Amino acid sequence: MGTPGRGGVVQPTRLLFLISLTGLAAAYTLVAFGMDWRVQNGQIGPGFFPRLVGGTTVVGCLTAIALSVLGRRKSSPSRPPPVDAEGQFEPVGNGDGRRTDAWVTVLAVVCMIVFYLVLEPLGALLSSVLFLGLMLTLVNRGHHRLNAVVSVLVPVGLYLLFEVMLDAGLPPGLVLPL
Amino acid sequence: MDVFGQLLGGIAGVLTPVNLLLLAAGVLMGMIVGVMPGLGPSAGLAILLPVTFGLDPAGAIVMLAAVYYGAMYGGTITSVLINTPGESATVATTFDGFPMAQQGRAGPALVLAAVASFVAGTVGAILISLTAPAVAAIASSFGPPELFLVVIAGLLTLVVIIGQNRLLGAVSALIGFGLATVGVDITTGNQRYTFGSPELIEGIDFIPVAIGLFGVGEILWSLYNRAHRQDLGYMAVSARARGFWPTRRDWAESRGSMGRGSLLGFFVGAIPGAGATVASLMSYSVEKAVARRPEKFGHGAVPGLVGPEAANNAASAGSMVPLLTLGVPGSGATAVLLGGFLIWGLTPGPLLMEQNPDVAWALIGSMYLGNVMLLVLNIFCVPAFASIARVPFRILGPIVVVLCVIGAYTVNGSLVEVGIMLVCGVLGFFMRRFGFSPAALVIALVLGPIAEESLRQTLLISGGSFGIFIQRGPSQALLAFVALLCVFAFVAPLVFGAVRRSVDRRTERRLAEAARRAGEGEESADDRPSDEQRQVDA
Repeated sequence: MGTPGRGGVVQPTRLLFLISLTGLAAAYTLVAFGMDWRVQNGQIGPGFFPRLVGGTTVVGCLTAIALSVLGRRKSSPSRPPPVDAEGQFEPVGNGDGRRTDAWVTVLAVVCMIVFYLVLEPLGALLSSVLFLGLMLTLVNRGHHRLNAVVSVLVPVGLYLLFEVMLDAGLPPGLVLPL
Repeated sequence: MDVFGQLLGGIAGVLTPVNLLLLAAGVLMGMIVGVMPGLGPSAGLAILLPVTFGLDPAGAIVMLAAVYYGAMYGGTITSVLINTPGESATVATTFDGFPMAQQGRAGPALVLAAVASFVAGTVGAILISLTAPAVAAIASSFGPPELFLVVIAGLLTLVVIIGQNRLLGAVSALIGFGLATVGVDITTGNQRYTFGSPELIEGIDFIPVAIGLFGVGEILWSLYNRAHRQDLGYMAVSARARGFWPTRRDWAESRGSMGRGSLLGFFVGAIPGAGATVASLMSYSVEKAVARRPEKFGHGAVPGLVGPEAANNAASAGSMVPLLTLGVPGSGATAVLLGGFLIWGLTPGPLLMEQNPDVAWALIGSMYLGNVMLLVLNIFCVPAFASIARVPFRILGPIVVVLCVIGAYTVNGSLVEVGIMLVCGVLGFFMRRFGFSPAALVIALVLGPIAEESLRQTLLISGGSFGIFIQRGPSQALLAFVALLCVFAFVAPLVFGAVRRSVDRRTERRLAEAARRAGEGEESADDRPSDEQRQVDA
């Protein structure tokens, strides 16, 4: 988990994320102020709760930004590794000198966007084959035969499970009705 | 006896051939998801929830309870065999489980963990049967102000106890509340934040959000941390190998730890927000503090494995108490379960035990049967599940993403929801990276409509005055609890630090004493005349 102001140095990506979040929260609050606080019969209106939530979020985000910039909340090395509620580990991000792979993450997101865009035209089966092919080429380099087998067999298995056994209604595709 | 009669009735109610098959399938699927590094019960439940849509509510509940327990135990297998906890509740399992596997004792470690989980599940089922009706009886006197405060208290506990950065945890919960306001306002019928999209009129479904945050977000986070480049060391396990079963000494060493872990886990788990992670880590500390040979901890001590395992399973049972009686989930996984209940028209809360006792007791019964199934499957199929843990992340990760996309689509057959899921996946990655709490977001998303509705009703009753919160007895008690939590947020680090130092000091003293005794033993051995010396003397 990236802690704010680790060692007094502000992480630019963290700051950018917090600023984006503040912008979204501010926009949310602005829209909330366009809704009624109270309705005609004196009841609480639809804007009441969003204004409370939006306003508090903006204050929370601004406080987080201020703390990040001031670097006042340094993490204590004696604390146990943080975990979230259901918990997954919350490793210390790239602030602890551990090597990370940002480009693979970005390319994986690009593959997911492609998957999303071709899901309707190609259908669940073919788009899954395409996505798995792309992703495995990216992260499991050099194992072409294994990648090809997994790219075909897994989507077919999932198609049989969801479409044939569970009748879940997967997108059929405009090119091939699969 | 009446309570146990109802428990037995609940167990008998789910004992149909179809339900048993669903139970087995749920445990299997849960374990398969659980052994995938990085994916825990939350992700497992979120991804597999759509699979249960074709079932009747009873069957779906049975299956989901089984998935929950299966996924919990799946994390144990990876903790023991590859030193990689599937989720944080099994972190403590790695401390002694992996050293046991390194010593060639992976079989006993996994069998003992399964038995500990079973014992804890049994204790949990008994305790839940005793405590749930009592808590439900108290909660039935709650009105809208108390319901609102319960939701806030549950979220505050989650943010205060678990997260390292409480401010970002609170912001995560607020984002969840914000997403929950999208759609038609129930009271006035006005549309909020739909921006003309018909897909958003019914609001943002929690399932795509949960799948995105817990599933895709976790995969992206693992890729970022180069999990695809790692070749994990793997400890083989075979049921036919000698030493697969625990020895008598193992059983003797684990008896007390199972009992302590079960009780501690249940009561810690019953606190909304505390959960299995805190319970298992506390249990490890307790076991180390009471152990005769604390120096063995970290080197394959059986109590160090069994105690936390029992605690995390009992905590899962304990977390059902606030879910069933108050309708407040204490964790991401129970939030997904709550969402599932709502889909099937069941509203967990104080009235569930009164109005739908059959459903409530069927759930408790299915949880217990899930534990039995878990024990049976684990003892006979451990090597098979262990082989899944050998599949590297670089193969499993992309497959999980496909499963997430298909799962999100099948909820409502909506491409927009697939898009929401992927956006939430990216959001989940950044939340994990920068210290936010995805679990708090999901819980707040599920509880958002309840919080807003109860706040509105409260202010309607009071004529718009917030004074109502300090006029009613139950509200005052809950407000005091919230105030205590806020104080706890500042005092807890000091208290925990003092307790940790005290335990460390005690452990060090005992280690020093053990070393001194060993030294004395060696000295006395040195003092004793050797055979050669005796011969010379003679």
